[in-house]
Amino acid sequence: MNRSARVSDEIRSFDGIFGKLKFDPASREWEFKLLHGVIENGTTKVIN
Amino acid sequence: MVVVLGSWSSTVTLAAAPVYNEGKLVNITPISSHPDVTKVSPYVFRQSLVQSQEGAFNGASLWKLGARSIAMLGIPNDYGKANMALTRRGFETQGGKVVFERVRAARCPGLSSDAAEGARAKIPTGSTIGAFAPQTALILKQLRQMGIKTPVFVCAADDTPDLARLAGTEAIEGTHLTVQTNPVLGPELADFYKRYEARYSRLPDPFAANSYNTAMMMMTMAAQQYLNVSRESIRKGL
Repeated sequence: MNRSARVSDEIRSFDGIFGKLKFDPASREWEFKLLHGVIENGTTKVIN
Repeated sequence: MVVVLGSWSSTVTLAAAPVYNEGKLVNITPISSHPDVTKVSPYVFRQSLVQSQEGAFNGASLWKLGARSIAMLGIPNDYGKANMALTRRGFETQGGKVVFERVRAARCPGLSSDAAEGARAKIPTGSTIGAFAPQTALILKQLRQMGIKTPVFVCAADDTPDLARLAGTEAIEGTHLTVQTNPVLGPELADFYKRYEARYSRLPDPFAANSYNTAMMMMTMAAQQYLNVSRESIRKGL
């Protein structure tokens, strides 16, 4: 895993298992990507 | 103690915020998604989706599925109420109409019969469920037993192996949902799924993945601040 967080300063991104997540200082929220899925045979399949 | 990872529930995180504020202690939650979580204290952080984001996504996804009028069911805690209100806003922004809405206590048997009532209400073209897997499983089973064929959309929190375990694979087949965590999203996540399943003999849910990612971020920060780690250094680092 490539952990590219620069923590000597404030964290503005973190490269973890979700890939590179960005932090928005204005909202104080991390930006996650959402996708549309459907359950097929008991398992989630991403469709969009 | 220099940082607290958690809590799980938005209700608990919101209630505990004044305590973290008084102690000048960072609380970072990987789960609590109520929009107010990061607004109640400068010491409360999160690393998860936010209900305002998910609600807009749910509404747009339902519209794309062809739903124009929907029934909404959920649980009356901070999470459920936020999920329903913001999904409703997202759907109405698209031009959709909510024709039935009901919240019910999580362990109340009536939750299941609400599904039947909601599904019959003015012939909705879709349904959403703002609840966690135990309640969502009950509702989905009821809808399937009634033979309801209209699309059902559930939230990202229901993207868990628990849903199939509680409802059975037949009842959840074809259910649409918001996805935040899935092995197809990238090699790191695929590797996490593989390692998690090998260790726990089940697939992870979004709570596990978010918790792992948040813990890794905080440990990375602590390692880089080693010898100078304090409550204030952690807060400044975030």
